[in-house]
Amino acid sequence: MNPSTSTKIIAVLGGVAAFLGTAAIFLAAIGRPPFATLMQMALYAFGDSYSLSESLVKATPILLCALSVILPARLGLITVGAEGQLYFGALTGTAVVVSYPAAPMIVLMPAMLVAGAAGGAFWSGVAGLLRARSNVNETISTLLMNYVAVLLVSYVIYGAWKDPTSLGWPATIPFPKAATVPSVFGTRAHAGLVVGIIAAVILHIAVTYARWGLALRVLAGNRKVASMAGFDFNRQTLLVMAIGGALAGFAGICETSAIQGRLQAGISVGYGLTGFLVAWLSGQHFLRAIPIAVLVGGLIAAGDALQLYAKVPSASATIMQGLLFAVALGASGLAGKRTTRHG
Amino acid sequence: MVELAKVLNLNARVVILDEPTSVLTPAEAERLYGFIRTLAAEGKAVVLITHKLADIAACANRIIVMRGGRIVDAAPARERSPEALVDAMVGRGVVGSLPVPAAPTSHVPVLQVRGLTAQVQGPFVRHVSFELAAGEILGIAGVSGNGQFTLAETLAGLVPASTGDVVLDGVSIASRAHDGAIAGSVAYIPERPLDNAVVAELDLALNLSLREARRLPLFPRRETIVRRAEALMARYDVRPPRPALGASALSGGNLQKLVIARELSRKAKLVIACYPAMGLDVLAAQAVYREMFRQAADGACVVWISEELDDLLSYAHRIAVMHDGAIMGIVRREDADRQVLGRWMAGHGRNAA
Repeated sequence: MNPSTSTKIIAVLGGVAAFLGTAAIFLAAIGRPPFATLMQMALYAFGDSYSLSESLVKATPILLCALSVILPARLGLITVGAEGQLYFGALTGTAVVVSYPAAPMIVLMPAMLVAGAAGGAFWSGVAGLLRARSNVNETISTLLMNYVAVLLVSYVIYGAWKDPTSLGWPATIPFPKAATVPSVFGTRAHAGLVVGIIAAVILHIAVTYARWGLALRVLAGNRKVASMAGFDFNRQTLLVMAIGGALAGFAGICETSAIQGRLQAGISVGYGLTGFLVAWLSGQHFLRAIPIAVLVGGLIAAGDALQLYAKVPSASATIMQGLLFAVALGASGLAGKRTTRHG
Repeated sequence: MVELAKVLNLNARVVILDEPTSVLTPAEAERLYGFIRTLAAEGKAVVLITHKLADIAACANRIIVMRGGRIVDAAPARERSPEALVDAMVGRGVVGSLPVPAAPTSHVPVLQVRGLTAQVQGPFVRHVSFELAAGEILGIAGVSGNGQFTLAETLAGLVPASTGDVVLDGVSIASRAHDGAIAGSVAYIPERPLDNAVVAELDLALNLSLREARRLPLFPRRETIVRRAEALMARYDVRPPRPALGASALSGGNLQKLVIARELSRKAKLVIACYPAMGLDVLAAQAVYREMFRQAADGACVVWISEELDDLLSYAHRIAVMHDGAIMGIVRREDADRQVLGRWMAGHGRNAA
């Protein structure tokens, strides 16, 4: 089951070729010149500093959400709750801002970020607690809690937190400067990206080289033997769910603060689910998730640009994203099958 | 029962049933016996694989006894008494000529098992009570599948006790394995090591380090773990002695040696050994027994589950017999009588002797 390097490379190249092929067929089918449009997309994604910055903006929440899926996966848990954790983190982080909008930056910024991460950790921790205490399937509970979190955000922005000066537009007050996550490299990409990359590296080191990683591997491999070694599945379940949730919640509050500038509906365009798919594409590997998140972010950004300039219908970007995931999962699945058969 | 009904409706000419009654209630089992007899009366061939003597008494025309992959006895059913069957099932012992472990010096109970009841899908333990002094070896005999494995897992703290308690040195250890309270003081050699004692995805070095895993430094040094593994593998003759191999790469016997190296290389207060010689040749089995007896000599309580009655009669200080999840009786080695033990194993004569 351990695919050799050459098989992996074949899988990646095959996947890319298959994606370009199917994308070209799709573009031809909707009456666009396939080759030129694909070239244009590559330019819109990574062609200049503005495009690159837009791609990184999209990649940031995707990366954080992917990390929030990968860590529980290392314990053998499958969570699909990044979207809900992102929304709940946005909600709790915003609670700090709407309560103390005049607080100085040195207090407001950290309080907002911590509250966002804590909210995500709580939302995910509930699913973790249910799993640990009552053996409730974490995939189902995280899936359902997504809906609750999204609707909770709607509830506050249509109700208690609605900005009275917004003329009926359902959103909170604009975040003050003191609560705006700074951008980096002089672009729209914000500090969340840096945090995401640092988190990926730290988590990679922790699960690869630390005793903690051994605990996760033993627990994922054989629960009974883990018990003999003194590792506690329930405690680790809570821990990985909470850390994962914190990352997704952090993504939520960063998105709200740096990109939207206020809490409103649609802070996430499916980042949670996209993060889940990125996690799977990376083979539940923290470092590999970084380039994949950037690529997928580029695809989404290019889709937006294409819609604006090439007058391609908005759904087509989503379709191409779907094609990418389907093709990539299919390619890695085929490669895995090949290896199993030969080895 | 539904699965069975589906199979029985297939109109097959040969029906093979593998431990069909292990998941059935007694009443359902009675109905199954009726089905099986009907099938036989209709001229169909039925192969019934079971460890339950009741199944055999109810259904069988002919009996074949298998042990260690070989047929050890074959006869028409009416020519074999339950005692004779048990005798054939449990084997004659693999190891002779080891020094007999000295009797424990103290009689103060260190391990107290009180009214222990536990259940894990099918096999179970019912109201088991016994006490062990430091250095005492309790052999648990019986046809396998009568609750021995569940008893071992409960003693090791891996399966929660539904009632009763296990007290080691004054501390309750029932279902507390994961909090680390007993990871250091209990040695446990389970049956089927690949499923129950190692993590197949990890290499041998890490598998050998598991008992110490909680005391490893935050960032364990790979060389330290590997060097320790190499020493253990050499001492316990695990082959091939390559710490980087995956656990699933070892043969059953070598995997068992690996588990024994991990569990018995440190001083324990309680040793639970489930068929520790299974899959080993005579020399390796002797080595395992020697390690186990050394633990007893160093003051550990040893619970030794075995099907090799002669081994138990040679080396254990006391012998208990398990049948259907309960202990039928406990005797001192000097007072043990094969006939009585055999009757107990067959489920007869509780409270005798």
